[in-house]
Amino acid sequence: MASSVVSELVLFIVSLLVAGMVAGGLYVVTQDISGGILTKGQDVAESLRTNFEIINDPENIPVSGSSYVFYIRNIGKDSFSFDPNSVVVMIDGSIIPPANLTFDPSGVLAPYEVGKIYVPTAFISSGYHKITVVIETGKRKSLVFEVG
Amino acid sequence: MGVSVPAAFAVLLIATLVSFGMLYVSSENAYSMVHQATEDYNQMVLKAKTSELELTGYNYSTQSNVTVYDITFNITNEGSTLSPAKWTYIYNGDLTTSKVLTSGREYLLPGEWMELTVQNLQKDQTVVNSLVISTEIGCGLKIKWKWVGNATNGSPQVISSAWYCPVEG
Repeated sequence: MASSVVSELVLFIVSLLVAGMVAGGLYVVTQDISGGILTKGQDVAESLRTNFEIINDPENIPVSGSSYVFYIRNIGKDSFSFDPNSVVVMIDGSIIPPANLTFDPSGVLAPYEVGKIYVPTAFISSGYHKITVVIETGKRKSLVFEVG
Repeated sequence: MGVSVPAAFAVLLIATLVSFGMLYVSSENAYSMVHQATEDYNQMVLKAKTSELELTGYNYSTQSNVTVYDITFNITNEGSTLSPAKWTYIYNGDLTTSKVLTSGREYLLPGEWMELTVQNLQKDQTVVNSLVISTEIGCGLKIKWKWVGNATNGSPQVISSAWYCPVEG
């Protein structure tokens, strides 16, 4: 009789331990999934709210010193990073090395703010070209322009 | 055996319910964020598609004994409400704040018009001037004009104007 009670108790404790472990695993996996859903949702929302345009006059790209100046306007609802490490600039498909680019302001571009990207004239010959700017969210904009 | 199985089942049931609850809350939050952002995005796209500025007239002021003139454009809003306070002006390719004079109004409602003056332009008939009025939605109105005549007798003439939105080329 006593051994029956002990075995019943052992079985009870073991079953609770197993159930607890399964429940713990379920909790960890669920928390991971829910965290992933939230992060993905935030990324998608940020991507949708972020937008910009290259607003230069395509026929008159200004020159400052030895660089062409491209105007970037934030037309989205959120700010985005605006520096050589988070923005990629391509001319006719070729990436301009970040070390050759200058950003003004360098840091963050707030909604409706206009920033400037200085691209050395050595990378752009006369004629028609296409500049493509890609920001950290992956959003990209292009502008076909002409330099004399 | 009598209580072990129900107890384990109860623990698993509670854990499953809690897990589903967590998943539901995070999914609901993510959906709300994406839904709100989609609404904002749709608003941006809709505003870009339904906005348009048009050059409806222009005049100028000068004196025969000076070599400069001012030109005033009448800009009419042919689309959705815009905010001139958020516009930027690009004169001959350069971003400018001093060359262009505006009334400083906050909104330009559908059908309303406003004046915009470009100051101190040279009476040089070899120069084609251009002004891009870049609106808060990224689209802009580009106007090109030149001085026709000589310094004492002449007037500016608009060559072309175009409303455009930059698109991926």
